[in-house]
Amino acid sequence: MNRYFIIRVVALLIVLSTLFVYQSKAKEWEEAQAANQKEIAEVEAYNRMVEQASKTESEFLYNDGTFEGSAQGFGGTITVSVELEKDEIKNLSIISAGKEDEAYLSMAKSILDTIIEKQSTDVDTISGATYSSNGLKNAVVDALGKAKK
Amino acid sequence: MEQKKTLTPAQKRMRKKKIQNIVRRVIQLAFFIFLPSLFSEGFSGLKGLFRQVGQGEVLSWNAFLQTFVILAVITIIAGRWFCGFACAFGSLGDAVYGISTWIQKRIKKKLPGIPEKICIILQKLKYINLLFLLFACMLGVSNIIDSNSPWGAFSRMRMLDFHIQGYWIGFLYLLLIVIGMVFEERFFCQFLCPLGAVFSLLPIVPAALLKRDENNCIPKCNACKKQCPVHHKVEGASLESNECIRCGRCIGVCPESNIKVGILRMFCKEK
Repeated sequence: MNRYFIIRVVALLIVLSTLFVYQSKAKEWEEAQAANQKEIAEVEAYNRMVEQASKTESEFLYNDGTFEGSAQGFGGTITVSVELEKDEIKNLSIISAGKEDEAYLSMAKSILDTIIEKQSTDVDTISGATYSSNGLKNAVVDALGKAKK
Repeated sequence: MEQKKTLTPAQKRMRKKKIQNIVRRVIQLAFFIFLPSLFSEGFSGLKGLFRQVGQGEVLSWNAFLQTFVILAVITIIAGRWFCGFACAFGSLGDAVYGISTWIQKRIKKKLPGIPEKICIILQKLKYINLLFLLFACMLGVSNIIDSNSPWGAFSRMRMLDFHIQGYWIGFLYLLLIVIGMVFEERFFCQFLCPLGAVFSLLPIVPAALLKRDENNCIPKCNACKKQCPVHHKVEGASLESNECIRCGRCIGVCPESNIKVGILRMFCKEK
């Protein structure tokens, strides 16, 4: 057996086992955090509900309905549609992203879920797919601008 | 038909070499057209891992990581075929260097190359580059690097997007790299590529490496080494063996047909 090969195998195994140990630790941390965050989210959702219930029609910032917005992505224009109901983003979908790289777009899509979850466009871009996710985010911002009363 | 019969062994070798070269160029072109961003996807997968470690997040599986793992597994089993045949950035390097040598022949002037010894030293630079990039990911500042990366600039150019504002640092790097490609074959792959650095560190199965039977070599021939784009001495598993990008030129050029993949050599011996 060749010693260079063995050294490389050992190095790879060390890296992989380090990642394995890290992963189990990280899962522990996440579980602890998730319980904490769940409580916060519940409180926030409740607050939002109370706030909206107390608002009258004229107090809402946005019109209800579906709105389209566009922004520059990586390869061209991205268009998304935003479904609003009582100032809440109910649904986001991509209408067209013709020139976007498939793999990058599929990574970037997760930013839409984050926007719905946080009910805000003030979210971090997806690392590794910065341009596409930024394009999606800005398209949502554009649509919200159109929906404003 | 008669002409074919009268081919000398040297002519046969030339023909074989030419066919080999054309096949490789066609495969490279096909990958360039249909799967041009594999290299940056793969490296993004690795960067993602380090970013998650830096943030203390749970490691998650995604499309980029999948690309990286597939490329790494292929490399471990069979060698760096990806670098030689599939990587769009490597193909760009080959194209630029090819055009450069063609022009040099036409105007009958030769550009100064980088001496081999210095090349071997410069090849270590890519590990520093890799360390730097992964460290930046762990610190969570990789967004700055992403938006100034020459790879980003390259994929923009590929999409025929020439809006340089905001990305001019990446374009400047790309320009410098292309200038390097004019002088030295596989300039980026040898000296800078972080993904290539990862592949060089992987344990490529020795049976998949190219090896020459030095006992059969013509003394002081060195044809294989002179042809090699990465200045590799074909000697099986060694410190530098993983530099080999599987272009296969040494196999074609060897007058004694001495160079074979490790596993094939074993079969030959049995016969």
